[in-house]
Amino acid sequence: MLNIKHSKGIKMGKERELTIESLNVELIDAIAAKTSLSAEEIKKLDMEEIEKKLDIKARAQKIHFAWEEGEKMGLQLLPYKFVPKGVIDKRERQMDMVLKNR
Amino acid sequence: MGISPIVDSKLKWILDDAYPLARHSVIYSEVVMGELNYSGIAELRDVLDHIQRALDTDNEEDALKDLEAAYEHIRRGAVESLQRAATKTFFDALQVIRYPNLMYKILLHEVPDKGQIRDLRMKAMEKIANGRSHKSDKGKWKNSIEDFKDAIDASNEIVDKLPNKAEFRFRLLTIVGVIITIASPLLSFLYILFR
Repeated sequence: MLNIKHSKGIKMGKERELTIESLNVELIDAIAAKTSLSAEEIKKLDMEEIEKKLDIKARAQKIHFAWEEGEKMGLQLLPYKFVPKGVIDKRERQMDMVLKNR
Repeated sequence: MGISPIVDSKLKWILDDAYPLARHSVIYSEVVMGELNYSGIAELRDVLDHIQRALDTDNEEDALKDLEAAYEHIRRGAVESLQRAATKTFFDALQVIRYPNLMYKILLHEVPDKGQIRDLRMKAMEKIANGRSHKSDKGKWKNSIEDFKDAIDASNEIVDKLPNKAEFRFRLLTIVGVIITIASPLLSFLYILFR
């Protein structure tokens, strides 16, 4: 992992020292080399805009789940109730009776 | 010490094969019922507890036991969630098939095919019974998920074919309103005529 120190800096090779400032300059140079943007424009632009110019898809592709179809249909607007365990157990007992008498 | 290859492969199998099924079941049951499925969520929490223990221990045997327990919670979370949803939708469907055929005719609603409704009701019952009897079977619990889902579909089909209580009442009110609107000037006219 890259370790950057503000005050001292890390020796890079024999002559150059890596600091936040130097890294920033290198990054701007690298972006400018790959795009038609100037250093001043790069400093002003949003990261998303720069990503677009660099043709980087920063966001992961959306994963699709089948149950989301229900959400799209508006089922997410259902006011989800908190139903006590007793009520759920009663339903299951009723089901027992229905199945017993079938 | 890292986890052993056996533990690693079993963990992968649980997370890739069984867990998504349980997750879908828990969410599906909430969407279908409109109720918080806290018992399903609690089962998924227990799954996480066992996985954490399996990863923390250096003993392979203990880790495998924990993964077995995690799998059991996954199974329970999936089948219990779907069973709850199937039971609720079945009773909801029973609520809408209480009215006699004459009532549908009076309300100018299409009279439901009794045989078809009965078949759907019997299908839902059979599927719920099958699902319940297979849910504890380690080799067949995934089939019971299918059974519960079929029961939910059959119950929903019944609900879709018949008007619900609110619709029923609205139609009744509309027809009573129309009758009063027509009858009141007619009665007033007859009253004036024969007075």
